[in-house]
Amino acid sequence: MKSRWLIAAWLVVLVAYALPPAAAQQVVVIKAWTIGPDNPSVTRFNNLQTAAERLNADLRREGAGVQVKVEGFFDTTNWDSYLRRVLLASQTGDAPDIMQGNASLAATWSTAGFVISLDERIPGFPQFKDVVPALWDAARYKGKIWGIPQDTEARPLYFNKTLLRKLGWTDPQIAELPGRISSGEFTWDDVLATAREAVQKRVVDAGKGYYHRPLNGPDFVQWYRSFGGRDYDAASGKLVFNKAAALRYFQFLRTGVEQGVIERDRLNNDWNRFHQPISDGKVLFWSGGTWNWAEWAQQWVNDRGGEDYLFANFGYAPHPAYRKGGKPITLSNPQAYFVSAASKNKDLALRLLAYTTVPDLDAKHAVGSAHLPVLRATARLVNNRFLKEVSYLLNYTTFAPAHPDLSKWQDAVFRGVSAVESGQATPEQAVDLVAGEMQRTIRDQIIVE
Amino acid sequence: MPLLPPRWRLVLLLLLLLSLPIAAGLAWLLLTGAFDRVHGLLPVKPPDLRNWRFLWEAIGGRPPAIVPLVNSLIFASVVAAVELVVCSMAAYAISRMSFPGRRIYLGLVLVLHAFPAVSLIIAIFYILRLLGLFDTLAGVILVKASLELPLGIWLMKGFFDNLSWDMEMAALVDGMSRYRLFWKIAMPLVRPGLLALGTFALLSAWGEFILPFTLIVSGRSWTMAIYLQTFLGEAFTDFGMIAAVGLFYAMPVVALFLLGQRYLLNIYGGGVKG
Repeated sequence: MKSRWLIAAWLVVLVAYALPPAAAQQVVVIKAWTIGPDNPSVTRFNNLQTAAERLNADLRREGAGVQVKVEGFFDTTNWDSYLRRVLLASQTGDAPDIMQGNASLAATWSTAGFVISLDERIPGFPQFKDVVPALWDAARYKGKIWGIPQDTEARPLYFNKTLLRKLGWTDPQIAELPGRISSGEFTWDDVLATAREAVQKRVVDAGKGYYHRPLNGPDFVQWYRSFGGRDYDAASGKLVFNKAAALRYFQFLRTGVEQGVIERDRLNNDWNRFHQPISDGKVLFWSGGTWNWAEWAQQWVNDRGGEDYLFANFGYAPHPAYRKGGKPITLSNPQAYFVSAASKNKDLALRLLAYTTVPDLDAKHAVGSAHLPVLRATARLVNNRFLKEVSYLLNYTTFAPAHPDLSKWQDAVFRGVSAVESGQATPEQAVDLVAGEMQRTIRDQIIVE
Repeated sequence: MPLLPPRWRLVLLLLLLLSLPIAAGLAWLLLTGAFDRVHGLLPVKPPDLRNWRFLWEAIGGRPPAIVPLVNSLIFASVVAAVELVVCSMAAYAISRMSFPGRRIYLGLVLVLHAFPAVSLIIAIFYILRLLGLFDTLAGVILVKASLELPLGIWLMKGFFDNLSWDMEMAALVDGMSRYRLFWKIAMPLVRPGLLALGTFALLSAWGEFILPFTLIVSGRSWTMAIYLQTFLGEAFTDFGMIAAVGLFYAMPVVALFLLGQRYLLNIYGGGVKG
């Protein structure tokens, strides 16, 4: 008999555990989903928890009778599965209170009705007044603000100083390189020529003259722009595909592959094959992000001296223009916290975000993950060599256009890059393929010029 | 005198060669989980417990390991319990009773088994959303158990078919109810089948990935399979910790297999000894 009671008790516990919990009293659970996927960006989640402790102290002082508990996760897998979760949860009306994502997702998520506009609520919190104004623009769509800026970054063109020295460059020449790129003197053609020389002189192995990311991402917008392309027409609010600029970009890639500077299978979907050769000092030029710096220091060269090794070997500059005298470029893809339409505690969630948007937490995230801060006060507070040396890149920064069909635009360009690098299509064919795909999928929202 | 005739030694060698990749994979898992750094199958740094720190601390915003562990235990045990009860009852009825549409019903059950879970996933999503069971362990348990029913019913039907009808007839003549007969006489006689099906259900539920991955989105209801998957980072993968979590995840399965393999083999035998 006793065992029957035990089994019955076990079943009751199981059912109670497996069913959705009843609403908690006093303690309000704020669910927050965040993503890196880079590990050092875990402060996107931890900062919310720290802010909750401070908010709770104030709530106790106010005698509000409510305490906040932050639950959720920090995703390090990939954006695809993260966005799928957000989509499924939002469609079932079970979305978390706070969701973090690219600020440009404001267009997609607001169109789908997943998130709420924050314009009316933001003035209630003095913490938001110090946010860099341009970052609000990144989270704006159709005149409304949908997200609270969380961080920003820049995407530098990195170079290996040790390899340049092997190639015969003097230290002053190396030190001048970022300046020459900024002034438009050193162009993409010069990157290609230098890398080709390095391959010919066996300073680097074939294919390791220039590396770009191994899978789709916002960087392709940046590179297309650096070849003179525009992707958004403000007057009509439509996306734009400039065939001449795309052709220049695709020809650059094709030439790079044919000259042995770029790997034919550079789009191999494998970040390890990106970080390992770079951190081993085997790649001459590569396009990355500022946050990569923290990844390399903490995860890839930690046993070789961490940041000291990086400063000794790596240099950084904006991405060059395609013609002499052109303007260099970088792209920032600011992150933002969004408050979901399904949240039952929207005001509390936003108040938590206000407590997160303070200089010390902003600085903690910036330094720990090599992102750039969102508050002007933090920039003065942070005493970090790397962040100080890359923050000038923001003078050249651009944002991805806020348009719900941006991902289709990106997918089409990515397929073009993939076809050109693998040799499946000539640059001219690829341009036509991309234009055709955009006209098919984006329809009246694309201008092909 | 050689232990094996030469012909068998050749077969043994061939089997060893074929098993080598699997053995190498397992060796890698054990070594990578135990040592700080391993190059190939060669440890280059001393043994280290750091890879196992997920046991006593929450790693990078994930829930503590105890949460997915308890969830997995609940998931696997409830799925197995539901399967055992429903399958044996359904199988007994099919095996012993005559009712209209019995043959069609049997055929339909088998057809259900032909559908892979993945092909039903969108429909399942909508049903769970309607029932308010999306993102709950209870929802995934129901889905997993029901998808496993066809196999279980057919399996248990085989066991009940092999039972002697005389004994049940005698009990019925003595005035025993069908229900009591089922629990007191039939069930104890098919114990080997129940143990086999239970072990099979536990193993299958413990290893289930697609269903929880698709139908559970918040960290509160993660199972071990999802927990393990979160360590496969796009930007960086800590293989030492992956190996440790993988070993931790595999331990209960290995234990269960060692304990239950005798019963598992019964799936292919069936029936009671005469």
